[in-house]
Amino acid sequence: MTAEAASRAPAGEAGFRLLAEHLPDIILLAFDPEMRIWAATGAAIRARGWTPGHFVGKTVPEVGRPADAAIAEAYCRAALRGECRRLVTTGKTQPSRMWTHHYVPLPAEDGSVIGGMVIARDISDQRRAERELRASQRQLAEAQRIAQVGSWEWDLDTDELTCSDELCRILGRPLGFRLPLADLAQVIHPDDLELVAARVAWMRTDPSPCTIEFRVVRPDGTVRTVLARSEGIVDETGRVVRCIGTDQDITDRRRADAERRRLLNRVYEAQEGQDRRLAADLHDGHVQSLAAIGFKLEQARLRLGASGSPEVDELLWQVTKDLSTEVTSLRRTIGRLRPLVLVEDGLEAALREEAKSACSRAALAACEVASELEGRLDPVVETALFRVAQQALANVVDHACATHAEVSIACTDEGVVLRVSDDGCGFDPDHVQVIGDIAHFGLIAMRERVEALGGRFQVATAPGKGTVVEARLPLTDPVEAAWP
Amino acid sequence: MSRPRLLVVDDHDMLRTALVELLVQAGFEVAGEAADGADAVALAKQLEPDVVLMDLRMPVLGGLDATRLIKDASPATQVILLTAFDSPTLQQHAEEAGCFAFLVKGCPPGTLRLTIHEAIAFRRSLLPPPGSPVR
Repeated sequence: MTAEAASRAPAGEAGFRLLAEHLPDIILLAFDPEMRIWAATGAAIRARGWTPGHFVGKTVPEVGRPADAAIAEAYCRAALRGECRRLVTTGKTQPSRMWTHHYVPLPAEDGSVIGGMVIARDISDQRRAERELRASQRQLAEAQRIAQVGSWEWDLDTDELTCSDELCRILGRPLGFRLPLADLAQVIHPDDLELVAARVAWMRTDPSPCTIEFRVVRPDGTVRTVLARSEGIVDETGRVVRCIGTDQDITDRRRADAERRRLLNRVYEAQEGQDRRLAADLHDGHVQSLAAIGFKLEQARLRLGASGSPEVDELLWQVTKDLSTEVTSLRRTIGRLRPLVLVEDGLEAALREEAKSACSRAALAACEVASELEGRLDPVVETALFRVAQQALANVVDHACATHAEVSIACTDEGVVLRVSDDGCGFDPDHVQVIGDIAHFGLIAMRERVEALGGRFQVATAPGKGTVVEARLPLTDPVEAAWP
Repeated sequence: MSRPRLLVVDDHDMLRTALVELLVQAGFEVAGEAADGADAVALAKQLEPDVVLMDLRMPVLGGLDATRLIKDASPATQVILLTAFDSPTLQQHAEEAGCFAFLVKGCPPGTLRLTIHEAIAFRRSLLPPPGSPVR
């Protein structure tokens, strides 16, 4: 109270009543050494339709719940001895309401106890709010636990991160764990520390929402992968003062992704193996036998010579020619199943042959091949990229109506990037997906093939705008790795 | 003029036999047969054929390596690569190894005989004419 307000307020008991009568949910009772109430005030009296007359002249134990009479008497006596007591109880007329009763001594000016006071407060609303808050917190904690999502708040003034219980569990730390930002290295995986530190530095000045994936290391050495989402909160000057965010434990999802990639990769390996065996069977058996039959037919023609019937000679010639056509077709099949040039000479040579073939089949003006490759890649990666290019070029031949196409291979720090582009008619990718005819373009197969090796696959196209198919593959540990 | 002498090299017995019979029927002399590249090199050195019909993929030594060795030892001998594989890159490799021609098995009737005759003519063009003084 300011000096001016104090000077205007009524003095003594009147002033006390003025203050008490404006305290919500409060009843003040003053009692003498006989526990008899001599003053009663507080807004809660009026709010419940009572008057001070309901209390004054009665003893404290009489005005409360009969069940509390004994303890009320004991607490009054304690107050009269100069001690304080607190009782939590239910309402006398409304048992659903909760009250706190504080029993305190009432001292005279010389410090001696001349009586006591009961400060009774209706805490029903407060308790309900507390219960609701606790329930809400429980639900939040439960939801975080089920979703494996922890939350955090970073106060830039203290430069410390406060973690939710679930985040503490994700990090393998005790509940209530706080992380000073200077100690990031205690939590973040060493390989991801630079990435996270750079993002933290960025968040200090930019409140924009951001998402980042990284690994954390628990004290027991366990590594978990988390997906963090965050945004900054600024003050009136626009300065970032706090950041809030969530960390989702996606370790299981990443493991499942890796397992899916591993299985897909095995499927493709099995398929390539089967194709390889089939190609070998066709090459070593059927093609050789058919070629031998062709030689025998030609020998038969020679034996018949001029003495033979022209009709028989014509028939033999036709059969030999048909056989030659079939062998050529069979050879092409073998080439598709297992391109010898890919095995013997590598990806670039195989792509050049495939581009040349596409150029001829689609009557393209040109189908350029640009490559940054300097050596051989892992055979699995070479095969996957070749198959993607093969399918993409088949699409150019069959659907694009293009005049130019280009195949390029670029090498980056992360891996190798294959692009097959054309200037043809393009297509509406949404429409293709909606009609479920995506398999017609082999797009699903291409995507799966790339993703099986932890890569990324993209198609950029629009009607009349040509098509660019892009496959990005990591070069190291292709199944475990994923394109960043 | 003596009959052209050929060496037939292929690890597929049925095909090699049929090819030899066809060539004999066509009037060529098949001086020898081999089922792998190493035997082919040894026989080429021993028989000095005009033309070698060489398969690509064979045990012990492949057709391209065998061709290089034969051409090193006897540059006039012409080698026709006869393979079930067809690819521009392979054709380039065959040319680099010194092959006279690259033919795919099952090529149109008559192509093989025509190519052999061309190879023989080319070989003869490399050799000194009959009656030339021998140095």
